Amino acid sequence: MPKIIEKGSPAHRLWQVIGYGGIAVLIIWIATTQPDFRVQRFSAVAALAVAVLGLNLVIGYSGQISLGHSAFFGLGAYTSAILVSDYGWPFYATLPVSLLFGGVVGFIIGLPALRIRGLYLALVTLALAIAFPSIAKISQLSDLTGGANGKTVDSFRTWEAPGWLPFDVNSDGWRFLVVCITGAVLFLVASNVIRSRVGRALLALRDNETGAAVSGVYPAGWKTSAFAVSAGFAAVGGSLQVLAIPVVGPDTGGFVVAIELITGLVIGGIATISGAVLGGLAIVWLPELTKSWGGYLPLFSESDAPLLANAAYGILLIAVVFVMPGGVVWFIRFVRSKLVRFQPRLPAASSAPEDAPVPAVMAGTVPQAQGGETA
Amino acid sequence: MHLVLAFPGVNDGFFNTSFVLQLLANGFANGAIYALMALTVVIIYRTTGHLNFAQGEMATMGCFLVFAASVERGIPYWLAIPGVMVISLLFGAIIERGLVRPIERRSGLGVVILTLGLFLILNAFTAAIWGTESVTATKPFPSSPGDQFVILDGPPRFFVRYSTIGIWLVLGLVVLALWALLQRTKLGLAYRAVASNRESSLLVGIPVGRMLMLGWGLSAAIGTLAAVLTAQKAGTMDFNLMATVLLYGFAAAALGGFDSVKGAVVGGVIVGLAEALIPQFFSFIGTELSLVMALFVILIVLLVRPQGLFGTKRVERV
Repeated sequence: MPKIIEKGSPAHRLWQVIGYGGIAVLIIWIATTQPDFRVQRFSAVAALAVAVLGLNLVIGYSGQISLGHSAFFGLGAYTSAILVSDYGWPFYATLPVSLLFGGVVGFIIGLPALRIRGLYLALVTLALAIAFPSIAKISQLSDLTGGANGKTVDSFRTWEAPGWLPFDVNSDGWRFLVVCITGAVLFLVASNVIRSRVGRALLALRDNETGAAVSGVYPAGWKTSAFAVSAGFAAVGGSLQVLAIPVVGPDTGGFVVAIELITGLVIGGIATISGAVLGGLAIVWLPELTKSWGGYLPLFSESDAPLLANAAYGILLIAVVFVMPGGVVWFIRFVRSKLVRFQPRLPAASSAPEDAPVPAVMAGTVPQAQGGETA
Repeated sequence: MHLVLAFPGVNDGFFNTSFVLQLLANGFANGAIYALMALTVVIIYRTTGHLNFAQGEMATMGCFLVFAASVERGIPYWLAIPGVMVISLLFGAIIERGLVRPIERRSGLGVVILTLGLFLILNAFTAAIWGTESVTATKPFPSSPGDQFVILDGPPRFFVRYSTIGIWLVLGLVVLALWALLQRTKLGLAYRAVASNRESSLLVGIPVGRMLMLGWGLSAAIGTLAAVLTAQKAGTMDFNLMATVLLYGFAAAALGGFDSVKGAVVGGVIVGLAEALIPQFFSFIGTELSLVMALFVILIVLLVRPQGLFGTKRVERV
């Protein structure tokens, strides 16, 4: 029998403080004690988590399939890299530009989403991801993008932690903290938006577009805005990635990254906020894990590490779809619900019995016509 | 005949009969391959409403099987290619039955993720087995430098390679065989019934499941053929042989309509011609941007006419 804790009660607050405080302590511990290469990996985790979160807004919450969010990720990365290295902007000032730029391009790409849905949008966005490297490489833009070599932002390497920090961190550690704090703000925004009117409107659209339209949710506006916002998130993720690892190339926005973002999303959990973090972890650390298996498996030699990682991504994708359609987060929630359960506070006057008899006819057993019959 | 026009951004050398004809021949050959890929997309889409993003990798693997059989072991092409096509057919059918069908009830997104996963796995295994380096392509048609008909003498000469003619012939044969299968056999009738209405087909006793497997199988077999032709045309092949070709195939299918066999062929040829001609005509569009063009084809067609040139408009019941 799980322990039941009312939301908003002191016990619940204590849980929250322990949870979020624990994460903060963990982040500071990583930033201060871990070797540079590992800190960089964790920075990449945080940056990718923001991008996966953006992708989640589209796939998980508004039910549109995008296979090309890497293009926005790459766009954001290039925006920050170019503004900082060529125009001497401070990094923080590039974040809103990145958000806006990604959002505008996302809006333009998302416009067809009004007419095309489902697989068609998947196709358009897939083409976008595959086209991104060739666009970044074209000769007319090479002054800006650095052509096939991409861009390197050297000034990030000399970033030093400010003196007011109560603990010592080196450059990588400080940049990791910046990425984490920015990411945390975006996560907070996203999770609040999802729980608000906006989130409910999006979920309604996802689950039954006709029904939502009849209830006053204007599909065109909501879907394009969701796509634009999500593209903006992905772009900021790209900016953060450049801060963490100050190199950007044409493939930053390519198909491989697009697949990685989707893999992260699916493994972490579609339509969950925290799944994006687990997704980022999976994207970065899974290849590290499989790297060491190279010599021990048939077919794959030690030099085939990237291939092995791809195969592992693929197998995990299929396994998650079959076994754990909700991703790791749903599994964690399932296990947690056996131990402790958080319930919203019931209204005072309500005396509805907790275990009311289940209606004889479950909703699922009523034959439902296809399409939005309920509308 | 040599016309010089002083358009800014227009390639002057474009207006030369031989040159244009050469581009056209090339475009038609690529177009035939794209048409085959578009056919594989259409065959699956018609019955199941899914796009198989692993289509290209399945085809690449088939092509490498042909490579292993004929180039490495010396089995003649006329035996190796049909043999591998049968293997592909079985593989496609197994994928449909074993992986896609259990998922498709749950969600369309699930199938997309599934085929993406399959894409990664097949791509990785092809590379792991046959290496990541380019290898000499499978060449079922004669393709040494002299194997061509010279039609207009020089300079520049207009010639048609035997292999180009071979590609056109293969497309013709595939379309003919498909037409015969779909329009002239009971099996094809059943397939079309499933494509038109799955529930009703089930009610009149058509084995719908087997038709879906047939669709995936046929699609995989044609894909293998398309990959072999792609390799022949390119001269070398590696494990990413079909990645961009599939994208052009998608563009072609979008242009022609995702549920139209005729549309796939016409769409493929148009995309092939556009890819060959436009970068040559406008000198400011580099050939590296032809992929971006495919993107625009998809985007614009879907915006202006979402059902494509020959597709049927989908009516949604509310």
